[in-house]
Amino acid sequence: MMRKLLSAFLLLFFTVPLVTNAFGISPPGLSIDRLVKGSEYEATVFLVRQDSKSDLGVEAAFDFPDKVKSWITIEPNPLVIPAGVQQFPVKVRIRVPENADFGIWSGLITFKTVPVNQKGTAGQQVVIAVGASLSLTLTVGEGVFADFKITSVNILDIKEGESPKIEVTLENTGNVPISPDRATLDLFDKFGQVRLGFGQTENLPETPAFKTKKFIVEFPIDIKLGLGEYWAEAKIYRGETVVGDTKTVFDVVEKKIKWFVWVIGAAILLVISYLARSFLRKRFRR
Amino acid sequence: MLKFKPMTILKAYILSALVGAFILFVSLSVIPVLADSVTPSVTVGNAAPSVSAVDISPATITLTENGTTTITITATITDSNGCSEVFTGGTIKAQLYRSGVSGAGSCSADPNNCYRNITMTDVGGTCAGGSDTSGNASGTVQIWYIAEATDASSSFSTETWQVEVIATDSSNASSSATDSTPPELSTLLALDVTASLSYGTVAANATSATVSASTTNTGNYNTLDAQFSGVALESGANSIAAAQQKYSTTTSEAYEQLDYTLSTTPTFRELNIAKATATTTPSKQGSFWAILIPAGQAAGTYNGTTTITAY
Repeated sequence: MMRKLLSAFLLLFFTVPLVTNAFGISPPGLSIDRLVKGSEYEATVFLVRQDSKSDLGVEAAFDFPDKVKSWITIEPNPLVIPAGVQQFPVKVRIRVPENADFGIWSGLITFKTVPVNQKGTAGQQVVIAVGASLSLTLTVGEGVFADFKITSVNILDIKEGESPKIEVTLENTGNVPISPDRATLDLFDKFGQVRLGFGQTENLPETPAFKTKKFIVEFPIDIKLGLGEYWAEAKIYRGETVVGDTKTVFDVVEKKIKWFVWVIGAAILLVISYLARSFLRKRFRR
Repeated sequence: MLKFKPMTILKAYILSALVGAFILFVSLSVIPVLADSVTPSVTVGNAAPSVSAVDISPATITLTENGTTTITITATITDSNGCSEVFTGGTIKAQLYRSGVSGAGSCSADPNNCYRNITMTDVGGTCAGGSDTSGNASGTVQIWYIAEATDASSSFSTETWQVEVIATDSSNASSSATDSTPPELSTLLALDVTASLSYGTVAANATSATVSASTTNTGNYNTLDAQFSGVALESGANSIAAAQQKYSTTTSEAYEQLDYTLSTTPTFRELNIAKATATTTPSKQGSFWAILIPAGQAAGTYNGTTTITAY
């Protein structure tokens, strides 16, 4: 009788759990439509949260057709967002095998938070876990797409005696390695009014398909630049089209001799003075 | 031999003395006047400052759900009259905006698409003063989670986020420039859900009262939907199947009238929670839950997890 009474009531006892219950992903979708057999694609998405007081475990579930499931990996895996981090980068990699079929495939990677007080632990509760989905659409074809965009061009400060140089960031949005056709640099005085020189470089490095690369371009110019400020205008070309440019001031700064050069110099002087002293002593004795 | 009278000689001396005095007078008075008239004189005019190397960082903007994200703006400021004319005597301000917004750099302040009057200052003493003509300026702004996305899947996919930096010198001459490689602002799909559901104490073969949970769109995604799934509630070796829970995403009703049965497989439900347009007015929607305890279910404290995934 007592047992029946006990089973008549279920105690579903809850307390407010100490869990992070807000979560997101940015961007929530990737449409990759330039894949070919053998392509390797990489993109970074961010898992986002506002409350970052503690570590947050995240589980990833893949929901894709069997044919493409093995192409897709994420890094890191397993995922733990460390305390203090609000935006956590996750790399999504697609490796299309050489024997892949042509086609269009779609699916989801669902990132789900692991509540701190999960069921079965000390907390007596049912919690609502939150998650966010990354939608992927993969298109495998046979066309060659050569395309890129320049995401930044910076004119760098240089040391006395060096050639003017720029830093370029290129995002290859095509499915073959690519490089810009040329880069030019016009050099001006500190007021940007008197043109002092011109440099051009055609040998620019390649960026692999679907990758972003940062590289330095130097412009040997037949004039010696003294210390001070100069203006320069740099342009990056694809064919005859300017696809990236900037015009700004840069500094030529003093070339400092590093401390170990001073140490070596001092050591050589000591050795020479010691040898000279020994030599003179011997000669004086004679 | 020619002879002169003493009087004639005296007159000649006096005349010579007078001529000499006249020449001396002219030398002392006229020549200095002539010298004054050829002293070089120039008025240095004011040149307007120039702005270059404008940059917005990071290169792709990712928002923080339900909060703000720091954006850094940098630029090089040059003034032929000396950079301190701007850095000390003038101002450097920036406006950050979605490139297609009405008015562009003159847009009206709006957390969705326009952040105004961002103050920029010298970075690390790069404007040394004196004859130094240029220096680097930097400023930061906090942008809200409701800022409009410009990436490929967004409503503004042909746009970017742009900044206009305006340098004004002490004579009120100014110029401006924008970023030549402006960034995209990524879509943020994010939600904030009530942390737990409490059904209270429920008898076997009875249903609980309907309880509610709130789902808030804490990103800039236009219409937030979700997938719902759950696991069995467990108490030691006993369990209550997930399917004993029902829910609705529209109205609060009794257990029997609730629209959906909770599945262990994530199931898509249309919520259509719009993106908030004001940070003080969250965009949210309730969901309503109840449970039926099977007859003969053993007493105990049951717990489990329900998952709501932004989609």
